[in-house]
Amino acid sequence: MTHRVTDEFPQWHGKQVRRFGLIWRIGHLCFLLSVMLLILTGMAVFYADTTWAPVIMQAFGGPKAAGIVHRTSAVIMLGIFFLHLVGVAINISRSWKTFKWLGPDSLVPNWQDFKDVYGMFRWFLGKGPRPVFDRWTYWEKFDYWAVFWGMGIIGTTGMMLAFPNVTASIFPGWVFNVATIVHGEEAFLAAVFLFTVHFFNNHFRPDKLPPPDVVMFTGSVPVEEFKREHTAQYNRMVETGQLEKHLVDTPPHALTLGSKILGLTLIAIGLTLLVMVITGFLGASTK
Amino acid sequence: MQCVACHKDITDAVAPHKKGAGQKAECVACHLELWETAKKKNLIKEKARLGVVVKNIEYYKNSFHARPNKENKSHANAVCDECHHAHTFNVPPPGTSRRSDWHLTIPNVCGEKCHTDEFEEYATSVHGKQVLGKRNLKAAVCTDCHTTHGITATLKDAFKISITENCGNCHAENLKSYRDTYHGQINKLGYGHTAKCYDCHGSHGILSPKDPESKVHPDNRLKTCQKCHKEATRGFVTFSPHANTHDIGRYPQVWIVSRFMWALLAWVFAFFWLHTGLWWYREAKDIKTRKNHPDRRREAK
Repeated sequence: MTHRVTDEFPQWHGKQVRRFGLIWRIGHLCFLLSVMLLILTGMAVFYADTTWAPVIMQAFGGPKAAGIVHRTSAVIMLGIFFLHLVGVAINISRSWKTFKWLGPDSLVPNWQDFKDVYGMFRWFLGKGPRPVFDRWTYWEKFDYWAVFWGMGIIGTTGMMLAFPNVTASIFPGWVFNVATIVHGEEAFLAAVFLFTVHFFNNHFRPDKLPPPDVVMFTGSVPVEEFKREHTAQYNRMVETGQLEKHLVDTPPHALTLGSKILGLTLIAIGLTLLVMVITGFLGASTK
Repeated sequence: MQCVACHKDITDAVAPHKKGAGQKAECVACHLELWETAKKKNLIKEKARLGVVVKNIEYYKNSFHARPNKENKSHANAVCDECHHAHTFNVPPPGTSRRSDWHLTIPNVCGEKCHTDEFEEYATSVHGKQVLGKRNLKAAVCTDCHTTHGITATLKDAFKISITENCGNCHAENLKSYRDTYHGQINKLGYGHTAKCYDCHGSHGILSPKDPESKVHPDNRLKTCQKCHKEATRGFVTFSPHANTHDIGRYPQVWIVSRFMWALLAWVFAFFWLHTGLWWYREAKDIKTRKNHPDRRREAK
């Protein structure tokens, strides 16, 4: 197709497709803020021998205060995660009889995802066309389940370390040694993954330049972009006449501008944290 | 050097001397003066040792020893000649057997007149038995932990932070593993409240962990943990505060888990960074070729 969507459907001019509801967007924002605080306060301890770590520690007013910030952020993060589970459970139970676990609206990985990974690598190497995606791409699904894994691993080990007396009344002491390593390494994995891969996929791909992509703050994307990024879903929705139901007005300029400023600020913070973590890693591995 | 160079208050040559108005024999003023002269004559390199002395004077002046004594405010806690002999100045050059002899007397210098309780305890410790009994030059004497001229009050945070480094000068591997724990990380950040070497091992009376009297002997360990962790439960006893990731015999769980984590990280990053890199390459290339194509994706934005 060489023409634009609005050539074919002029009534969609000035419309966008809603991808994320308000609650989910607020959830994402609070979640990322708590994760950034956790990374900042945690990495200052994990990489205690860097030049920046004591500065951060002092800014928080010492390790005791930083510890309270760390635990409070953890409660917020885990709280949002559990609320999300409740939300998912409600959504699924409402459509229990019709919900397709392996369908396009489900985040459960399916056979198509593996085919898409293969197709993407073929495209990377110039051996095939770029695959088209439905509602959730495989990298979005990975991001989603990576949080589950992270919550489980970092959350569990964090709780063990936060309540040592309970932990030590059930488990032998080596559990602390293991929990400390797992907590730190997994946090390193999460931080570096978020600020490299997640950032690249959503903000720094050549197609997405200039950053930021604000869909997670405005909730909707232009129809044109939606058609490009989620072609299979677009085609499906046009065929079944579902797309109209998901159309919303283009968000007001102020919201878009505010989202861009917020997005860029958060990206800048994320990249700063990334640099801090990398300095720590290089310092620790060259010793 | 003549006697009166220091004893400036002696002006006659007849015993018993009449003490004049001149300054009494005093190390600091004299050495500082000599250093000033050396600096003026551009002899800093030749008089390097004098520079060390001057630096030590600086350290001393800020030390706990230089402060007025609580009972006798006109006197400092300790002055130069209470550790160093005034007339023989007894620090032999390093590497000589006289130096070794002198080194082994340090506990007596600190402990016999002033720090008697500490000396008594030290004599029973693993360090003290090695130094006093076996003339082991490698075992710690007072100054190895407390430093010499810059000695400070042990209650100060600065001391609590530096003591771990001082122990680590000999026990390097243990310092390294300590730094991997929360105790050691907070200490490294410059805060003294987490456990330091002596909190668990004891200080002057430190014993080998195999000694049943040792504070870190498995039988006594829980009590030691409970000094800080008041509610500590039995699992604390088997925590390894000095575990490392390379000793599979002593720390099998840590060895396995660390390798699992490294493998996980390596695979995740290998896959996704490759994915990212190739994606970048292909998409950038596609955009270039699309520029002359009517379906320019970015046009719609």
